[in-house]
Order: sequence, then C-alpha cells, then structure tokens
Amino acid sequence: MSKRPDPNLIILPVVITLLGLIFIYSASGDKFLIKQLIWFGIASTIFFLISRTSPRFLMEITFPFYIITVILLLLTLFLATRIPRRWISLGLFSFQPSELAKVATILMISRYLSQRRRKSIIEVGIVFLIAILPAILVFMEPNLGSSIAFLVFPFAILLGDGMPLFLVFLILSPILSIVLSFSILVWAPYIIILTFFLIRRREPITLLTTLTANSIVGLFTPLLWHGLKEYQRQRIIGFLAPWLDPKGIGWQTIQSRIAFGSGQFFGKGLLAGTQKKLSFLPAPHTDFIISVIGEELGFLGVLFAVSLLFILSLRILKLARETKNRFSALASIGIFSLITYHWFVNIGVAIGILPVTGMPLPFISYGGSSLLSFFLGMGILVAISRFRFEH
Amino acid sequence: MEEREVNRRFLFYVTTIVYLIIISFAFRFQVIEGRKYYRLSETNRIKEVMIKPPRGQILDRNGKVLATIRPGHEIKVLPAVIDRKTIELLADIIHKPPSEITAKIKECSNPYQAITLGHDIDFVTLCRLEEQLGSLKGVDIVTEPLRYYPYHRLFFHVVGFVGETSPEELNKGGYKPGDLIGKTGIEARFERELKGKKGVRYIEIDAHGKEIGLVEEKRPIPPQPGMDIKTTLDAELQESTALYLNGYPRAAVVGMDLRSGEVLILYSKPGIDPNIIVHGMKKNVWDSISRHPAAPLFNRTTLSRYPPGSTFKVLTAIAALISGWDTTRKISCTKRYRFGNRVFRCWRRHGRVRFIEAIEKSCDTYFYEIGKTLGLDPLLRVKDLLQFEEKTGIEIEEEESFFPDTSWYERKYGSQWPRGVILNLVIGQGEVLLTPIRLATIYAEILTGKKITPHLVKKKRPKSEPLPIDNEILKLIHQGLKRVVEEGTGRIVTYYLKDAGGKTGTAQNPHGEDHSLFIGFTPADNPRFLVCVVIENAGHGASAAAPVAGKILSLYKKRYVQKT
Repeated sequence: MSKRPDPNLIILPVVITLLGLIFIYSASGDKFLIKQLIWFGIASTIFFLISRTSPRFLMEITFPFYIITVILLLLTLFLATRIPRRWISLGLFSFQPSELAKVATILMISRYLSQRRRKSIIEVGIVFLIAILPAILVFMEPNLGSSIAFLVFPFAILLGDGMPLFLVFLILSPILSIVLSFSILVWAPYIIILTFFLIRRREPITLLTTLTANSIVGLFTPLLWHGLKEYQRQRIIGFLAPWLDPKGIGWQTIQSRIAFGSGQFFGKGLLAGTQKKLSFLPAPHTDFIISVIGEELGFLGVLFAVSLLFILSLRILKLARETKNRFSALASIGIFSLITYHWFVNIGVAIGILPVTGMPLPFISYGGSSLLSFFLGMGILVAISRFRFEH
Repeated sequence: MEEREVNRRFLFYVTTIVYLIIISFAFRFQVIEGRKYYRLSETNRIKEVMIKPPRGQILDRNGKVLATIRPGHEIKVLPAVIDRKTIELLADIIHKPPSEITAKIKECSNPYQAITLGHDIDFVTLCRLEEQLGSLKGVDIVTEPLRYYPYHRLFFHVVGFVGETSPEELNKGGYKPGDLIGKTGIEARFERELKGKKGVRYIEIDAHGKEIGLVEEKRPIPPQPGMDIKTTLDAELQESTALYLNGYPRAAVVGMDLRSGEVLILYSKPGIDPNIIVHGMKKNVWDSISRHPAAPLFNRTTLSRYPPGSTFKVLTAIAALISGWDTTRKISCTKRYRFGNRVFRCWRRHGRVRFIEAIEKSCDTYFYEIGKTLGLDPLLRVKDLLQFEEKTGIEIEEEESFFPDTSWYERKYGSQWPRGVILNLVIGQGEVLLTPIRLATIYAEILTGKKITPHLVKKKRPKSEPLPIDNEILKLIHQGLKRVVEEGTGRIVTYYLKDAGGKTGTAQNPHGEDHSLFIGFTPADNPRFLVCVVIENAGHGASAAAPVAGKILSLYKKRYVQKT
C-alpha cells in the first residue's frame, strides 16, 4: 500500500530550484529566467506524473526508456550539425539526451542487478557494459565530464548492493593505473604492489583480470593522451597549472575563483556581483553559477545552497536504506550518486579544485534537459518513497 | 553488520566528507583568502586612468611668464566603434590618408581603449570636426594641457623645451609613453619640480576592457600641479638684447648681476620657436632644423667655445702682476714685434705704452713682451687660481672651457714646441677657448674679487669665497677696464652711457670673419651688472659687440640703478 512520501524529497528540490531561478536572473537576466521558468513548468509536470507511479511500473518502462535514450544519443551524434554534438533541436527549445540517459542508465543497472541473485565477475561486467554504451556515445559528442559520470553510477549502485569495498577498489584500480601511467617510475612499483596483494588473496580469476586491465590501460593511456581533442587536453593542463595560461582555459578557473572568493563572508549583495556583471565570469548561469552565489551572498549563501544539496543527498540515501524493494533501493542509490556527483563536481570545478568539465549544478544551473532529468529522478524517488515499505 | 549496510554507511561518510571538503574550501577561499580575491576582483574591474598634472610655469625675475600651459585639443578614437565611413570622413578632415588611420587602429591591442590620432589640432580642423562630430562614430575631441612659450624663440635655449618621453627616459620611472618631459635648459634641469604629480581616475571596465563608467565608491585623486620656477632672467632685457642684435645672424649674450651671479640675460642666436616642436613635428622639419648650418638648437652662451681675443688680456695682465711685473715699465709698440725669426703684429702703432695703457688701448705688443718675458707658467697659475677651465656651475647644459698647458703642447708639437704659441695665447688667440658664460664669470670674479657661480634660479648658497689674488692687482685691472671705456678701445660705449667699464675683443676665426666680443659693466666704480656680448663674424669688438653691450648696459642702468 502506498504511504505518504518523504516531504523533503518534494520541498528541497523546489526550494533549490527557486534559489537557482534567482541566480539565473542575477547572472544572465530575465530572458534566461523566463526560459528556465517554462522548463520548470515542464519538469514539475513530469515530476508530478512520475511520482504518482509505482516501482513496479518504473521497472516495466526501464528497458524501453534505456533503449530510447541510447537511440536519442545516436541520433544526436548524427543530427547535430555543430561540434560538440550535444543537442537535439526541438524548434524553440533544444534538448540534451545525455542528461536523460543518465537516469535511464541508473534505472537499467538497478533493474538488471535486482533480478540477479549473485554478483560474479560476469554480472559486474554486464553492469558496466550497460553504463559504458551511453558513456561512449556521450564521449563521442564529445563530453568528457558527462561520460565519466556514467561510470560513477555503476560503482555507487554496486556498492549500495553490498559489493565489498576491496572489489570496488580492484575495479577502480585501472583508473589509478591511468593516472600513474604518466610516469613509469611510479607505475611499475604500483603494479608490483598490486600483484603482491592479489597473489595473497589466492583468486586466480580476479588476479588475472585485474592485472590485465591495469596493464592494458597503463600501457595505452600515454598513447590515448595524444588522441584526445586539443581542448580536452587543454582542460586537463589548465586544471593542473591554471596560472600558466591566464587567458586560456585556466583563465575561466581563475576568474571563477576570484568571483567566488571575492564575496567574502556576507557577499557583495544580491545582483551586485561585479565579476559576473562585467563578464569576467564565464558561463555564469550554467557551469559557474555557484560562483555568482558566492560572489553575491558570500560564504553564508554558499553554505546555505550546498547544505540544501547535501541534505537532499542524505535524504535520498536514507530512502535507499529504508526501502525494502531491491530495485527501488538500487535506483535510489543511483539517483543519489547522480545528484551528489553533479553538485560535487560542479562546485569543485567552479572553485578550482577539480578540472573544468562542464557539469550542471543540480536544480540551480540554467538548462532544461538537466532540470528535467533531475526532476525525473526526484519523481522516481517520490514514487519509490511512497512504496518504500513494500517488497 | 550486513555488507550492504556497511557500504551504505560508507556512502553516507563519503557524502559527508565531500560536503565538508566543499565547505572548507569555500571557507578558505571566501573567509580566509576572501580579501585577496576581493582585491583581485577590484583590480579586474577598475582601470586606473592617469590625470596629467599641469606643468609648472617658468617665470622671469619679475613674474613674466616664459613657459606656461595652454589647452590643446586632441582627437581620440575608439577602435571598437569607428566604422569605414567615419574613417574616410575623418581622414578627409585631418588631411591624412585613410590607410594611416586604419593602420593605427590595427596596432592597438584593446579595441575599447581610445587611441590618440592627432595632438594639438589647429583651429580650422577643430571647427570642421565639431561640425561633423554627429556623424563621426567613435570619435571624440579631448582637451589636454599643452606647453606654451609666450616669448617664442626668445628664451629657446635657456628655458629649453619639453617633448614626449623617449624610450630611455621611460626607464627612469614615473613616466608613461606620451608624457611630456623637459628635454633641454631649465625645463630639463628642473623637471622634478616642474612636472607635478599625476592624479588618478578610477574607471570600471568589463572583461573585454570596455569602459562602463566612473567607479563611484573610489574617489579620484586630483593631480598636483607642478611647481613654478622663478628664474633670475629679465624678459625685458632679453627682449631688448634680441632687438639690439638685429642684423647679426649669430650671437651669444650673457648678462649677470656680477655680485650675486644671477643671470639676467642668456640669449643665443639663432634660435627656434619651441612651440613648433613641443607637441610633435614632422621628422623632415626636425632634421632640417637640427642639421641647419647655423645650429639653431645649440646654446651658444654655454656650449660654444670661442677664442676670447683681447678680452683675455686681463688674465695675462693678472699673470704679469702676480709675477711682480713692473707696471711703470714702458714698452715701445711699433706695430711689429719680432720673436725669433717670426714677426707678430699689433693692431696699430701705439708708441711707448705703460701697463695701464696697454689694457686701455689693447696693445698687443705690450702683452707679447709679457709673454716672451714670463713664459707660460704665470698664465697656468692664473688658470689654477681662477679655475676657468672648469664648468661654471650654471644650472643648464654647459661645455668646459679650454686652456692649453705645457704637456698639451708637447703632445701636439713634441718637446721642442715653438714658444711663439705663447705670444698668441697672451692676446687670447690660438688654442684658448672660453664659453661666453665662463668669460662673463671670469670678469665678474675679477671685478668683485670673489668666486662667482652664475645661476638662473635663486637659492641659498654658501657665502662666496674671496679670490686668492691680491686686491691691489684686481683694483689695477678694474682701473684699466674703466679706462677702456673712458678713453680706450671701448669709447663707443660712452655714446650710450658714461658710467661703465669693459673690454673689447676680436677673436680671429680661421673659417671666416673675426668674431666680435665685448664685456662691459656698470656702474664703472662699483659694478653691479656685467654683460658679455659675442657676435660671430662681425669683425672688431669695438664696432659690433661694444655698441650692443652699451645699449644693454644703458637699459640695465635705467631699469635698475636709477630706480633705487
């Protein structure tokens, strides 16, 4: 029987969205505000409709939903005329299927895992395949930041499903291998230590697959590096040493940090940010909107905004723990990771502690596709919440 | 605990840690380092624009303005706004090819930063611009303080002129391209006092460098005007001097208060009107001025060295007297003076001449005899006593004077150098070269018996030391100089005023007509004012320089002596 849903799951996203609307107006004026209001209308309708459904219904539509988003991603690659090929034009509005695909992928993984008893290397492999397919399509747009996001969800969901942390580390170990592969002097000892640990665990298949994966990425990363687009490499370099190239990609980071920091404790006052007003701040209504909040409302405003997002993440996690249904729990974990990853990366980028990737700040950044996808996610959670005590 | 539960707790911790990381970074950037980023955001948006201070004026001793400022108009152009049509119209008005304007616009790095197209535009152009300003997009006319010299060429050398800072001058600090800096004369010497202090206006700009407006919360700092420099010059004397020199193309005149060393006249001819060079001139005009054979840029009063001619004889006379010369001794002048197998000439036959008459009549023969008898050493002693080879210490650019010594002759002629050169030296010909300012200073020192530093600006100075020469000797020379005007070679001066003394000089010039020199002073007994006139290629001192000096002395007396 359906229960009253957790009201936090409805109130928090709406409050955060309203905060976002204020700062979209402050950053870029009423033209963007009106567009975002229209999107907000569409998003809340979908939010409401989805929240009235049940986990059972959601499970049923998961597979077609996933397939449709994958087709949309393919269509984007073929139809989009400009690089990056991220948008499908719908006349007045344009739409970014990759945002929708994130939710679809989460549901797909949750559905698949919830139907499997055991988690052998094969199941884990399939989970990753489900994520890698859209990830590759998104990567080809190209959109490095979002394609990485697709690989974060399976980890969160697997963890939430009780996979041992050590295994998660082993799956993640190729990523470590990528980072370390730039210096053979660091990479070689890493592989030796890894091998030593794996031999002690006496699991030949794990040993073999892990070592193979680590070796392959370790050897191919330096080669792939040269295959990256120039601007992608610039982003990575710009992050590692942003002060080297003050007018290039690092300039964005510097200006964003200046805007953010210059708000000090109380901020310069609503609508009074000079960095955003004088266009020093790049993309003030999308990727760097937290810096506008930082500049105008100061540390207090940032504390408020980030705390709302943090509480929302925790409420979702609480829902995942309460939910008796396995699919619901996994989907909750997935949507939790979607929202948490986005606000962490977006803010991390804006204040210059992460490389520039171009991720929206959930509910706050301007952009219909992301707002719609986040509210779709919230709608799913409300639906789950209503049935949280049913198996 | 179930593995699932452990992991979900793990996710809770991870989220909390992520939250704390974000918040602590926010705290660091906004609270701990907030002031730094606030400052950076302010420097981002605020452009400091210099406000030029008005340069100090240069005044004469009576407050007459020798250099001042006037408003000028310059054309400013915003490259971001100006269009093709405007460029063509503007080019037509300012008589420049459109390509020149386009090239200047292309040079600039920030299209929102106005560039200057023309300095000090003339009245007709200004009117045409004002008329068309409505259809000239991105063009503006801005007033700027320009340097103006009301006396035009009259004070060109002593006051000097300003110009735009050269790349080397920019390194001195405190200057920006386009700033004016004193290039010569008083303008250069008193640059620090004259230039004033720049003010600042704070303008808000956006990320493209586009000016948004004044920053309200930061009040502009007004510029501090430069100090006025009051000189010891007398514009009226200088003006009259120029008038008296009409007909002579090249001349140098120094007039000074010989008791204090204050310079009242410092006039070099020819000069040019500094107003035409201060705010930019075409290179070919500048070249033709700087290469002109009459050297109009050259300050003849302090930089030109002339053979002093007979004006030097007072130094020879002093050399003789300090060596114990018998002043009662008479020497017979037959116009020809034999030295070894060379014959030296006097300018006329003087008959038997006494010491005092030798000065009065400027008898070469008498001084030949001194030179032959005493040799070079007494002259070198006088040089040491008066230090007349050195710079006088006047504030502006100055050349050292020159007097040869034994080793110089040995270098030139070998150890057996002909002693005949001394006979040329004693009458001020040959190798000795003095600047007019030095020559005037020598006479001032002899007449006052004190060391004198000529100067253009009054300031506290140590009390001048007495000359290390016996007063009786100086008195005798003074006596001789009075007689030059009373009944000697400088008699023509009495036509203008009676109460004067002086000395004529004719400097032989291998390149043409002799230079005419006269040094005069008034009043005769208690001299206050001294004038040194050098007129190039004008023949005898008595005929050209003496009348000019007489007129100046007479005017001085009218202005200063009779008044008191």
